[in-house]
Amino acid sequence: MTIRILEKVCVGCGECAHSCPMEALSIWTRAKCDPDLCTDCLACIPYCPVDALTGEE
Amino acid sequence: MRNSYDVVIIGSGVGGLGAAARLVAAGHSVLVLEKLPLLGGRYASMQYKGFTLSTGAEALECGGALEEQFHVVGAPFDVQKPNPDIMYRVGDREFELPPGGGGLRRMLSFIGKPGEGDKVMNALKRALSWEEPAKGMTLKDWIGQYTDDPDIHGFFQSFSAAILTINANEATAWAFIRFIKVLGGKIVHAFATHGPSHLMDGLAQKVTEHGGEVLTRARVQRILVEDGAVRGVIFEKDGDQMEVTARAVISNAGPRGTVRLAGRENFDRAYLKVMDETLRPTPSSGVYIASDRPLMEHPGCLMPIGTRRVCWIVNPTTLCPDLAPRGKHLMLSFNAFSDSLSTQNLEEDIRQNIQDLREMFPDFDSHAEILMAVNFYGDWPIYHAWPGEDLPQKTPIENLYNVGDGVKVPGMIGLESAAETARLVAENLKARLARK
Repeated sequence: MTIRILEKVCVGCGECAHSCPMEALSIWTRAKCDPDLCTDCLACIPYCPVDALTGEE
Repeated sequence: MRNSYDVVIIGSGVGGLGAAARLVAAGHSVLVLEKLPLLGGRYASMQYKGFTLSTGAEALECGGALEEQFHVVGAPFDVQKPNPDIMYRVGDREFELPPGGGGLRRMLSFIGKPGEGDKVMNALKRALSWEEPAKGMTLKDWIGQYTDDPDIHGFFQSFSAAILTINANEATAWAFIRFIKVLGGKIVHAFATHGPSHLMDGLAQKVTEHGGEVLTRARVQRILVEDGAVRGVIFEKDGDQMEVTARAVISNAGPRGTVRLAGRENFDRAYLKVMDETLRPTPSSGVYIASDRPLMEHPGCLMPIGTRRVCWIVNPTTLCPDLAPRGKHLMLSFNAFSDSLSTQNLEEDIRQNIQDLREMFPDFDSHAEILMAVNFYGDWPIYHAWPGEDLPQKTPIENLYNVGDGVKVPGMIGLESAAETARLVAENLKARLARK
């Protein structure tokens, strides 16, 4: 499973960036995930207050 | 876990945990359900690159309902108060508004052309002591009747964007005057010494010690309603679905969230009409900045006047060095959206925010690094209601209340506005629970 950011739902609040142990998520008005740093741990998903993160096969 | 409580509270923001603290202190059984893994809502903090960054608010208000909700359960209120509280800046001139009132007249005569500030002050004085302006007029148009001084308009724009979090051509003069009446000269800001979560986790800990239960990763799926009254909630935790009954439910999920959870069909149509037509969230963006030397001397909040977009700058690490790695400093710079009803200009607004910082702080490019540029809007806003357009705390469903920044008392702002709703709801509920 890899992380998918629903761009239309994401408000860019930054909670997922805080939660990522690899610092793979950055925020510049919207969340962006660096696939080279992301380990697919999906730890960020529950931190999103607007449900903009999902796991994708 | 029991299957019945006096009160179930949905959400652990300042309003939710505040209500929990007040109710457990009075001996009631309380269950708090937070869907996220962390407590505190938009007043929480997490680590990022060694910095303790807030999930929303950085400064808190002392001396009112917010501080009191910590004291009622004996939770630590470990904060640092900057002195002076707020500095104002026009060009390269800085000005301090002394606490206790009377400073606004001096401020306006400091920034405006001779005599222009007095014209506005006389109108303001009349509005405060005689009749408030009707709700239909914006703050900018209202001020415009008395002066066209650009620096005075710049002051009201920054003030509106920072305090009401919408622009002076969007906020009503009525909401601004209510703020001056209710909180003007009374706010004392502070920073949580070890970050917002340190305070909010400490509050939750005391709620638990008083017999309350606080669950994270517990997502409410449905507020149960029977014969026009609330009966309990169904929630999901660790893949299990659970149902608990309650004599009352308090929602800190925002009025729209509350309606979604309880089902529109259970609400009075007049309430839905008001909600659908008038309830709008206020947005803002913020830039979090790391630097290897303090970019500003003042150890508190700065309101710049006459900028492109920046309206509120916070410097927490002079007083709270633990919030940054050793040798580093943190600054937050906020802007209202150029159009509070649109997300079209997010990138440009943030670009202008950063351009303002470059001009204000000559060290910016050589000593600062931007950690994040974040937004708050929609279902994760600054306030769930434009100031002055809030819904009441009681819903049409008996024993179902809202707390938080969508049901503020007119004139209240900041975290204090959410804490005040918790105080009001807890007082009302304590009386009701005692009667049965």
